[in-house]
Amino acid sequence: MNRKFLYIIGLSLVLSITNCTDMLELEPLDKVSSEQLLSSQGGIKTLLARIYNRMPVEDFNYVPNSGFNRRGWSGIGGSILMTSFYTDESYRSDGTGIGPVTNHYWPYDDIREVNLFFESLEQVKETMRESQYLQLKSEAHFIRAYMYFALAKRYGGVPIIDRVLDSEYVPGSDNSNLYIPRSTEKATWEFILNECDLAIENLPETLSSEDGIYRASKWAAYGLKSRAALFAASVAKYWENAPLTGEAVNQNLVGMNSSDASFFYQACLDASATIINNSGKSLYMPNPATPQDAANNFYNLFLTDNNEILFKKHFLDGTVVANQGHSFDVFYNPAQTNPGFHKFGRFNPTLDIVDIFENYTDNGLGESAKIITREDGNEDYTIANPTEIDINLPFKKYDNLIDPFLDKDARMWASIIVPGSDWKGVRIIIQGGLIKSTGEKLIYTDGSATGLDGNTYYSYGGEGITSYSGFRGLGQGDDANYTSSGFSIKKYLREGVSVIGQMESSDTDWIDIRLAEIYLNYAEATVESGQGDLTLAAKLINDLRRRAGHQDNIPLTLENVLKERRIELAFEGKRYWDLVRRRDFHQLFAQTRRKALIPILDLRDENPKYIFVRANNYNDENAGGRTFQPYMYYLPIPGRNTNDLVENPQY
Amino acid sequence: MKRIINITILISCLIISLISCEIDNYEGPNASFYGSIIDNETGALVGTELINGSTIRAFEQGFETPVAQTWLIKNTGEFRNDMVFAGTYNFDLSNGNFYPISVENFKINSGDNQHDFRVTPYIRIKNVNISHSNNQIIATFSLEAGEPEVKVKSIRLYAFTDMHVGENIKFSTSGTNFLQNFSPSKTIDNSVYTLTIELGENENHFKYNRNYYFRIGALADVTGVGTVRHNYSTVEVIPL
Repeated sequence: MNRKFLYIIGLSLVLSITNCTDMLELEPLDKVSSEQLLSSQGGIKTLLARIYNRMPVEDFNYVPNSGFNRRGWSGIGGSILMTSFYTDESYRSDGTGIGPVTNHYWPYDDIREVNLFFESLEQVKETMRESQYLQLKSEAHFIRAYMYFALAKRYGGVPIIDRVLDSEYVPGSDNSNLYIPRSTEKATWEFILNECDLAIENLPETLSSEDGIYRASKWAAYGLKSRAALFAASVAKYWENAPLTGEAVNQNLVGMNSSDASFFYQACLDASATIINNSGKSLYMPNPATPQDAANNFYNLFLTDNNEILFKKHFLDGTVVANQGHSFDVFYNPAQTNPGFHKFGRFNPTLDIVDIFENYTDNGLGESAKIITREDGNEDYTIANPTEIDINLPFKKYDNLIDPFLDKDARMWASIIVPGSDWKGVRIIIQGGLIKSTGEKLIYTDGSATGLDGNTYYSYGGEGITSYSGFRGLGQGDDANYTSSGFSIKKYLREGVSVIGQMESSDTDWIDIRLAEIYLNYAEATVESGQGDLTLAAKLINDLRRRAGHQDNIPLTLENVLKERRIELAFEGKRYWDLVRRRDFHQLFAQTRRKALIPILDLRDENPKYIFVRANNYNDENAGGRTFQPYMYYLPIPGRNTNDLVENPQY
Repeated sequence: MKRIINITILISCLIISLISCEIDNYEGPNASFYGSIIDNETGALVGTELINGSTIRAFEQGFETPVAQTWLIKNTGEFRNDMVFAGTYNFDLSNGNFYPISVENFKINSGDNQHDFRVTPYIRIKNVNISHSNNQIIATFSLEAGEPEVKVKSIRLYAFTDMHVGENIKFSTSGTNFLQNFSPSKTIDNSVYTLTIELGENENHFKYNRNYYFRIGALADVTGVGTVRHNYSTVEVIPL
């Protein structure tokens, strides 16, 4: 016992002696101190790359219900998701609802990193050229503006933290000064525009390949400003269409006055005009010879480096370089050309958007050309359940699956795979059923029948599950690899490149800001505010149409501008925020069923013909329609039990 | 040795399982809170609907940041919540179909608590008559504004197979006269409105011989009160 006691005393002595020496104060060999990191250009760029990676870019890897940079697939079908699926332009084959993006984006850790970057930059200012220092500083302003924009469009006014708070912490006090309250929505938008201005100040106009061509240029910052200002202006103008009440409204933390709109519209006009006049950027292939050329050009716009792009996010093949790729080709190829993963064919454009595209009548009106399905001109019908259709209605009969779409806008051909398209050397078959020669219906179900010509025909258009791309597995979430809308996505999907059937095998770049959006921002701000150059705005809209192979000029009206925006920017993640900022969501979605087009083979004819039926989307119909509530325009503030912030209305 | 280990394991398991048997020591909800939403002027119930209808938002006091509990109000305008913790609550009744009211420091005791909220509905639907004749469902009614500023945006005759009929649970009927939208919103006067559902046009909805439920809804146009939800007449049951 005594001996044990001695041991303990001895050990304590040894330990206490060790405490007195410096021998343990070594620099760790597996970590880099901030001084070391900041002492080299490479170190600074590493830090910069890190905060670039934290930017909330709504790219292929943005999963609206879980977050940014979510690669691959979490094992739940619901994690295969694009912002576009939350709108009237597309849905996932197994059904997606309407509602707010619910990833609870609250990036104050990322904002702190940016603020630390500012602080570090001051420390090492002397070691670099002035121009280098200013560029890095402007880049950090750009990134911070981008983060606050992502916050403001989700929550309205948020706490503005533009410095590292460490030195303001007072031990022993209640530190109430660290509980920074929410700014008003207006002040938050003004902060974002100001950050854009600070970014614009010292960003370069062109980027050299040695510095990195994917970094932000002056035009990227102007583009961000144009986008953010239009968002703020729209909220100010349309807030009254979905007014809310509560403490957050009383304190102006959400909502703005319609009188604030003109300031923000002007900011959008100025930023957009600067890009249009000074950037040297131009539309990709602005004068196609034919609509076919236009379709090819518009398709290639998204797959090439070109002079229309203001800001893009680069990807590497994730099967080669870990955590770098995305899975667009794997998840969204139509079933017949899927690369071999067990989830595919999920990106389904709606009939709603297909109907919006023009044809080439080009009579100066720019009217949408609805798909013609009937002989009597009635295209306002929709059938809730296609298995119950009356086959004696005057449906128009077509010889080929592709016939109803032939004269449509080049941008439809470049953005959407329609039934009967040729894709990767395969004829894409999308068919929802058949009518037997006896008049019996075989719709939304697997089966076959013999035609009057003695041949066998299949309800989904082919024998075996690899020979068609539509309507199989409706209502079966896991197996819903076949379009339920009648259409499949084409924009951003690569025809000439085959990927292996693994996640993250795509390296297509994501175009975040391109000149066409700036054109549309300018046109919208002009029409909405009465400020801006009407002639220029009309020209911009018609330039976009000319690029799509149209020959006429349409007048500048709000309706035309918004229609062009839907068509030009379809599936690029813009529609969701357009519906939010213009407060259109709750009016558009009140138990609304999005539409599908169901091609059905009619065997009652000697030569089998196709009819096309307008129907409610299977999943929307089963869900009783989709609804967007006005309170969803703002998300609930995260972390209120510790941050003491005022909650948004109705949460 | 092996035996000792086994016994040790056995004993550990027993101890752990005994500990697990103890129920947690929190009290369950011990109060009921029920009552009605009553029209201050007429004393009638102010009906709403379960999905996206008027609600009671209850904030239990005593927490640093009280969080809203949303208690639903039934279609009839009555409510009942039997799983309430006794305590002091603030109530916020807003974003519904009546002028917002709030009640502070309302004491809910264990056991039964009855309370009626007296409110001013945006619109009262009066002189309602819903009847079936000539293969039509015909509704006639007039409107009365809760306050002079209230206008009406739209009126509709709703139909469904059960009592939950309303804006969010309804047949998507076709026809031209079951719904009227007013753009711009219409000032509320003494007009008598007639809405009809043509049963012939809607055979897909009225397939069976059974009871069907009908109700008139009106959407008010009021500013400064947040989200406005439909006001309803009482439900009319018609066997078809």
